[in-house]
Amino acid sequence: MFLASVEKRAFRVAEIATGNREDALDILQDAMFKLVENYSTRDKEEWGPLFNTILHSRINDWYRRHQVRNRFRGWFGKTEDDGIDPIQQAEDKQARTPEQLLQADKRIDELESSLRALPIRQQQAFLLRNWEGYSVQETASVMKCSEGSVKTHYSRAVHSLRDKLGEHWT
Amino acid sequence: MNTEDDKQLQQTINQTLDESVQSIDGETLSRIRQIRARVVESSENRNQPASQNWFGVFSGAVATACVLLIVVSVVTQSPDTISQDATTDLDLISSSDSLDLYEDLEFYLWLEDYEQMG
Repeated sequence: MFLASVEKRAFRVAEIATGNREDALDILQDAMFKLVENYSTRDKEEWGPLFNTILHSRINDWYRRHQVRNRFRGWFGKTEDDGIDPIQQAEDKQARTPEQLLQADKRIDELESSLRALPIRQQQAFLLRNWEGYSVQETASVMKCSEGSVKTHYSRAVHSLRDKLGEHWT
Repeated sequence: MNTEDDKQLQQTINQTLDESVQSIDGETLSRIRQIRARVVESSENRNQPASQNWFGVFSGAVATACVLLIVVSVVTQSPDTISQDATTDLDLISSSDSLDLYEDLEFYLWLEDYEQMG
């Protein structure tokens, strides 16, 4: 089944973008519902690009809301970097036990933090082009931007990752 | 770094991302499966009434067609085509006389002949 084949990757993409498991699960759920509600009658070949379009659209929505929320917090002298969100901290403790943290691959964590540090559009362009294997045209369609923008975002993303991850990754 | 190094870096990143998918913890996997199950269930619930409606429409259309066929065949049938037997049967059925009379008809005919002879 299509959803079963894409759900884990989609979750990881959303989690890398948001840095939060609960938000990633919400985005995944929204994207799945939207696909089934609006596009289930389309050809199966179209489902992948359509699902990714919805997923990345939801991630962009989340990102905009997040920016607005941070701006409001900034006006009141607080940012999310203060780390005083007790709910978010509690979720992280539930998400991974100390044993799981010990077993966690350092390489994966390193990559995640490097990808997370990228601007969202660069992150999307890189994941769609590199991990999903989409062409520039397909990526532009999913990201709803020009092919030139995709090339620029992708090139900058590769450059940043190369600098951050260093030569020991190659 | 050259282009070859970039390709190698991208391949290594892809492999690491694939590994990260495999290392999703059990609880999260369970949540993901629950989400999928809810989506599929809602999809089935939404599709079911529609299919039932189509079945109802189809059944209604077939029933209407059958009724129309019968009405048209009865209306277009000329009185001459109704057989004599059918007319007789109709008389028998619509008669207020008891059906016993017709069942014992042979006896009454014999009785009439016997009285005439006598």
